Amino acid sequence: MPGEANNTPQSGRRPRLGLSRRGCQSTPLIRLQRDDSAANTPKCSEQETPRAPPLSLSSRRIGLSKSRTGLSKKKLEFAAAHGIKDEEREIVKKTAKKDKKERNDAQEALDAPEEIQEHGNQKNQLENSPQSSKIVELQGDIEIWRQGFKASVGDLLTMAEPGLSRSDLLTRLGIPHEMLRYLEEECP
Amino acid sequence: MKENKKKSRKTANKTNETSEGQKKKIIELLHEYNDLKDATQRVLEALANLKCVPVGSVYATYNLPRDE
Repeated sequence: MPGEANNTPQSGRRPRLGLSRRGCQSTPLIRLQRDDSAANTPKCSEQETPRAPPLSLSSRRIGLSKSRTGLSKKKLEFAAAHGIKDEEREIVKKTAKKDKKERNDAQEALDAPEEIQEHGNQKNQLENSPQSSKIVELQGDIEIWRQGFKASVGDLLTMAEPGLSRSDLLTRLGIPHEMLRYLEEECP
Repeated sequence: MKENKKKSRKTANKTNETSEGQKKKIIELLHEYNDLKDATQRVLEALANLKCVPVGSVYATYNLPRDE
């Protein structure tokens, strides 16, 4: 059969579909390295050394002819720094004066006699004690009730029988006669 | 050292005396306060009776505390 001879599988390696024979054998990394080296390597025409411009002796050097802004800037910085230093000196002086004053005050306090210090301490203790605050509170309350007592007695006398005296009124109400002193007292 | 001890004792005695004095003062003021309050309350009750008004309103008239 002539057709059967073509259908027999051939010996050897079969070619892959979609890939060329050369591409199958190459490694991707090797190919990338080749491309990078080709890009980075300068060509023969670019290997020339750059030439320096010729030096002219007839005119002044190029560097000195330029206007330098750096010096002026440095001067300004120096002036600003100088101002800052002056301010710092003033601050230091003020603090020194303050410290000196504090030291003098402390020394005066130490030089003061002990009796004055003790007296001051006693005064502070008395003023801050709860008993003294209680006294002040009571005095205030007494004044409130004294004013109320005086005013109410006056109103009651006007409403009661005409010609009735204070002592008689207190007697009728059962109030001790000692309370008359609050009616006779005058405000300072 | 002895002088310092004496001074400290003096100050202690002074503080004790002042505290005792303050206590006496407080007691006297309390008595005075109580007497005044009692007397004023009697007068206010009499006024309320004459005016035929509640006692509370009379307290308010004279700006006196009612809760005490």
